[in-house]
Amino acid sequence: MSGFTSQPDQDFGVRIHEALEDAELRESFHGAMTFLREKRRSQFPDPDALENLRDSGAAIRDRALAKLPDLLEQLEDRCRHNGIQVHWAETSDEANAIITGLIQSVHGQRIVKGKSMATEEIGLNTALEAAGFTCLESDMGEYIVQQAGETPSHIIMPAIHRNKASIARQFADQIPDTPYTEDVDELIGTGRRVLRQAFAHADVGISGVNFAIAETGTLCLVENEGNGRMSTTVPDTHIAVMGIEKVIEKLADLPDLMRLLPRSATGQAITTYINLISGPRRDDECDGPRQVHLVLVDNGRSRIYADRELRATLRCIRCGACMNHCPVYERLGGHAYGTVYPGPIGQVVMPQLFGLDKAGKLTQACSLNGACGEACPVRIPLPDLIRRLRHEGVTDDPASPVRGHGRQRQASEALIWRVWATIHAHPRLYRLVTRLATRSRRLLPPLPRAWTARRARLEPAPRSFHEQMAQRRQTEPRP
Amino acid sequence: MKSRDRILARLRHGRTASPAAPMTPPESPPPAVTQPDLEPMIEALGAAHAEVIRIEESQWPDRLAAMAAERSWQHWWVGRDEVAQTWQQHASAPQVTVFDDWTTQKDALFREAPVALSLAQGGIAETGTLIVESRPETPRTLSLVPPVHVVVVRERTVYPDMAKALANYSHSGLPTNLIFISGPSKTADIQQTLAYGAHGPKELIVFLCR
Repeated sequence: MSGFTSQPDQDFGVRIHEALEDAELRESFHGAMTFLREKRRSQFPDPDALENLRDSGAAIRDRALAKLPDLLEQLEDRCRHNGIQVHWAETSDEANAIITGLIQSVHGQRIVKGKSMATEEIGLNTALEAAGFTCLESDMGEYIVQQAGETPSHIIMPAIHRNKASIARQFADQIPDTPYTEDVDELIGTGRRVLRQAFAHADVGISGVNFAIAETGTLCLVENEGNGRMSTTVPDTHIAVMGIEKVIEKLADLPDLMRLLPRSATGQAITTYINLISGPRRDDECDGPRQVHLVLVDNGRSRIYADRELRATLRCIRCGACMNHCPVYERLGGHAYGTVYPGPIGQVVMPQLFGLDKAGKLTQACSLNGACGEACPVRIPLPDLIRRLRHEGVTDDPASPVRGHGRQRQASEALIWRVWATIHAHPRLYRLVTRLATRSRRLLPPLPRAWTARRARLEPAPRSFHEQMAQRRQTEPRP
Repeated sequence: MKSRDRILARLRHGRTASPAAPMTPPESPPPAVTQPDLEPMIEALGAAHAEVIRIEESQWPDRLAAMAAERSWQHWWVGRDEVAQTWQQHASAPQVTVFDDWTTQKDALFREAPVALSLAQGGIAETGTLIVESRPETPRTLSLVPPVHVVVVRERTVYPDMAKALANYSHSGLPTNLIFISGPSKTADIQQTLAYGAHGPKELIVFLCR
């Protein structure tokens, strides 16, 4: 299973089991995650320097969020001044309608897209198909995934779940005049050949945005392949799609973020291309798009923004380091989550976008080991946020700010915890219960199969800790 | 009320209802004024699979002519910048197409342009980066579409790091397209195996000129 769903909780358990049983998938992810973690580590040899840089990255993003509404207005103003047309969308549907309308207004026929998680989030390709347009993904990984009718399994490396043999089969089957080869240079050469044709004839290019700089009205795109540059340079119309949280205040904020993003994402000191777009082609210029549009997408972000603690979610720079360091993600892969953003950041973003009733179970796929929080380049307290969302999922407080709050609450579980709390709050009761449990240990009901299927049966010790200590105090004289 | 106003109103309301003191940024040491050391630049470009040739500025055309003969680069695509003019006048009489009309030349650019030659406006030593501005005399696609890109950059235009390079544009304003290039196009999207020339140039040759 590899599609995105608006009900991630549905069949989450089934998807988890499928993923765990898939040896090839687990090998792909284990190899890729180990590789990416090692590469990142090698880019940050000095731990103190890394911590300073993370402080700086967090502060830059935090300052931008503190000024978010003002920066968005400034960005709009500066972009307009530069000739970039700005559009605002509250929802996915509205964003898709704006983009479809723009394509129709320029009579667009051939559409190419650079890698963009925002357009995945709003389901742009599906919306365009419904309107009669085909949008070709041009990032190599996205192209492979789109051709196979799949969805990305990692936000930076979309085809990370695939090995070269399966891609070789796919290319040989689906691209005319392509012999089967597992030579990666040749496979990339095939992709290059097909996609060059598309770039040369495209009339609309769609892209995401890594950062938008309010001070100068500039869109910053970061990439290695050049497909982002192709998509934003060759077609006459460029449409950039961006979540409203991606604005930063000043050009001077960019260098530190650029020290963090590629290193955290792929373990590179810098990407091949950093593309700063501050306007369409001027009259005296030879090439570049004649129209540049920026679509600002809210899609639930302003709701996340309203909670002081959850607001940190919006600091995210989409590097993927949290998933690369997550032991659960490494074993499941991205598709099991069923969401555009998988892994720890997905477990925090998706329940807030879809509601805890539809995506609250995602927060359970976490051992709270804390690795994601330690890897995050902008210090998003991911484990705290996961714990907070678990709480919101079961709270009976009607004032909870998260949609679908309390919908994960189960009466039996609530009762168990109430009993547990009562026992632990009353020492005599605690001693009585532990005494009973240790004496009748073989008679206790078996644990649920979900626990025992892969683990040894748990059994209380013959005597409680308190009893053992009391006994030890009698037999062993104090030193 | 329009979407724009509703989004901004929600953000403003959220900020007022749940204010948070922004984090204080770490104290950063005052920037050291140093001449950039070019060794890291050469090393980083090399590690990124680019070929770097350090040379006197007057010498690059002769060296390029020698390389062109060795590697059978016969047909050059250039803009209208200084290096284009220098190269057109070189004794080896290279075959040159001046790229300055998108409408009529776009198809040929994609189909048959083998080597591009252009001047980079600067460099960044720390990361091995070339600074390329869109200009009337430098089309954006010249550094993107041909499979081989030869770049001339002057040592005196190299900044130590990105912060210094960008500070310059804070004063002068940004061009419509400012591109930082740190090697040939590449991808590791198939099983983390690095391959060059994903969509842009497969080869990047840099003449770093004194």
